[in-house]
Amino acid sequence: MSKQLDVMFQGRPLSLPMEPIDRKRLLGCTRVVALDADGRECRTAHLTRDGTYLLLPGSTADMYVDVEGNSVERSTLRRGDGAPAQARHAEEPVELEGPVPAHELLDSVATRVHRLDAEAVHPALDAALLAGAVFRLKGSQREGATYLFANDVGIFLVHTEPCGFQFVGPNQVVNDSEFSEDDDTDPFAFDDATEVQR
Amino acid sequence: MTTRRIWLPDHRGRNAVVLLVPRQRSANAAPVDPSGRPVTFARRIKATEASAPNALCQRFPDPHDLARALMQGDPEVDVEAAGRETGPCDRVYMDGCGKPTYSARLVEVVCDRHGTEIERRDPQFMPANLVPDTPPVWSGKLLRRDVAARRFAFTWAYQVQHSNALEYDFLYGLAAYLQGQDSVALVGSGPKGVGLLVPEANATPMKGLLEGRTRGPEYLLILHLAAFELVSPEGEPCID
Repeated sequence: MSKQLDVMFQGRPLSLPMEPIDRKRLLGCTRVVALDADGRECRTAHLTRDGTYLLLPGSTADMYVDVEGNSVERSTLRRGDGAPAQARHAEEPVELEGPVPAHELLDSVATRVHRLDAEAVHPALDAALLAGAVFRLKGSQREGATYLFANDVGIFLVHTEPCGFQFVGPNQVVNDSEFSEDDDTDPFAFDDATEVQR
Repeated sequence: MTTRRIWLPDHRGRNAVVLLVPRQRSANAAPVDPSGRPVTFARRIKATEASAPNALCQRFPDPHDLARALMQGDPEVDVEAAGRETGPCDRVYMDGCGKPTYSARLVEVVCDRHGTEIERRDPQFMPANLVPDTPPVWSGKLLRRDVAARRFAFTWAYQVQHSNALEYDFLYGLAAYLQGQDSVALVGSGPKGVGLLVPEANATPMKGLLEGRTRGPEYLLILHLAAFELVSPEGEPCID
């Protein structure tokens, strides 16, 4: 258990150890690596399209630039809707809201998941969670929400982002070509191995 | 631009190929600078092959020589390249000697959950299976919505939509059925319709659960994709 979640439940501050879980930690992973003629693992580099520069790992810098092309310090960035760009670092315990309906979780997708140490959970909170209650952390995310709940095997904290889907009716005109996928693969990632999780 | 489709069966024994619409990110979430002007992401060159730290260390093996060279000639800065946007690039494999290789052999390395390598094999191609060659099968497996929400990590979601009146009728009926059952239905591949879904070639296989809601003549049908089941790291995961 590497991190702590500080929450307020029924006026009591609770500090709950938690650890991240994901598919890789639960099921393992499959990586694709390239081997040279001698069977040694290759490193990945990138070649600019004009063929001029061979860019080794660590030889590029990612940044945000303004309309004039000047670099903008990341810490000064804001979101277009006014919310801070960086997630708030919790200095005070976050209040638990709820219980909220469990199916509220289905209006969003999970972005990060943590498992909590069940032994460290206060009995009152533990009882509520075991009864199926789902709690939402108040104002914990810049967009979306963070939920605390339990199932048969443990207590989990799930960070989510909203799906944003709307009801559609019979007269809804759907244009096949108007949708594009969010491409979550980074073509520039300097990974020596491409990971394919199976 | 990609339009994804799925061949979806229902509880009445009917099926149709329908649209899958990905979730849309909020346009207001785009970052702006302190004065409210939009900013864009850029990847720029810091060093080239010749001015990279490793290359300089090889060129000047003696640290004193390296320090002197850095102070006198700025060999770490390629003035022609530094600060230039990379633009689109091609991936290149570098062999053990640091030279580009033209005949790299790709190998798939399978690791267990502790990161330990357990197998090496030739890369396996896994085709997408949202639109299979044969009609899909309704699994008939329903899971209460609140139970499903607490059991799986739904890391991806698509809205299932119609593109004509017949598909509307099909999908509305399916959404109304699932709402009436207050359940999500397991949607999957294989002869029993319970296999994992692969949304695109070589993508992560995920468990698909279909949720439906109706509101008057409108419906909302969501295909939730779970990358893994919520279990403890020590527990036995059972996404399959």
